[in-house]
Amino acid sequence: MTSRTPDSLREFVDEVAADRRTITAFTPERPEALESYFAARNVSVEHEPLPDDGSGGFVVVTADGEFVGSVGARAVRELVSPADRALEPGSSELPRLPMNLLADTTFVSFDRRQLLGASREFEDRAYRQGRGTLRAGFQALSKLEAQQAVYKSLLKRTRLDVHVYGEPDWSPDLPDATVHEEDASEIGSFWFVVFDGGDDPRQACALLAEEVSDDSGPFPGFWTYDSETVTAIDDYLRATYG
Amino acid sequence: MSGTDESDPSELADAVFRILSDEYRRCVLYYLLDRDAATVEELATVATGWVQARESAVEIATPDDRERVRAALHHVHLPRIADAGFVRYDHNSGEVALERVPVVLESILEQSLAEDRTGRDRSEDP
Repeated sequence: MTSRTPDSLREFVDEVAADRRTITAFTPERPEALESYFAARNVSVEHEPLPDDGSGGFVVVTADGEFVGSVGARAVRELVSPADRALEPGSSELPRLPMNLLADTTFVSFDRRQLLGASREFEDRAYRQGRGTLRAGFQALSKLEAQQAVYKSLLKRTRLDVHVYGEPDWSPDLPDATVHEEDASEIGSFWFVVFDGGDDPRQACALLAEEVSDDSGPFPGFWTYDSETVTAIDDYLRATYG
Repeated sequence: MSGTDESDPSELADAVFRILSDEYRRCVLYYLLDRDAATVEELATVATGWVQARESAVEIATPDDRERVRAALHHVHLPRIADAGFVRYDHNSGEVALERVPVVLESILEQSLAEDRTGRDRSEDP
């Protein structure tokens, strides 16, 4: 992400799309676990055979051809191994390092089901953290109706500062949330969940996706655990819509 | 024409061991032996990532680390390997290609890889 602050939600998506990462595994064997882990995240893994020196090799991440970082392949194997319960960023020191490097921002094309699933995951993360600011954009406020109960309990049981955004086609009954009724066209076309992590930037997360055709999607966009990117989106939303 | 006089065994041995005394140069040669040629940019990435992975399982190598390695390869290591006659380094294109690899260099590299393997297996087995 560049340092200049984007001035529309589309720009955030465009920047992430332009910053697409490639993962190259320099390993003696084909990194099958890594390939399937990242195939599910729409990131391609290339393999360059490396003579076997017992180190297990290493994994290089590039963005737009530029070196972003590298880490020993063994640490990454631990990250992608399905047996590893520490997939949650921040839950342990060892997998957190490659997580930052490899999966902090992932460009995806969501369908509606995935979008709802990922949103639930991020809302849940905010719920567990219990404090901080959560901003959620539903395109139209009527789409919040199905989730009003979830948000009610979120507000009741946490000290989260909750902001919801959408076109004013329905009035939510959420007295403890700040409801932003917006007619701006990007609010109508973008779905987002942005959690600033409260006092722990490692818990920061955001997803941002744009509905490009009709109601069924697809929704090209991204999700990120990169606290700088999360802060930039949070700042943009606060500055633009309050 | 630079290069090592292969007919003089002690001069050749000196040259080989001088070159192999450095881990970055070893990694570069391991890699080149596998594929004959590479660019200095590719070698910078490989040497950075590989040496880092050999030293630590979890530390990340950063773009700054890679830049330091790239500069060291360009200014120091590749010219030395080229002076010994083992590779050709084209400063303009950045292309590095194996030149004349004495049998003794190849066999020491292979032996050294094998020792790395067993050494690591042993150290992982408390």
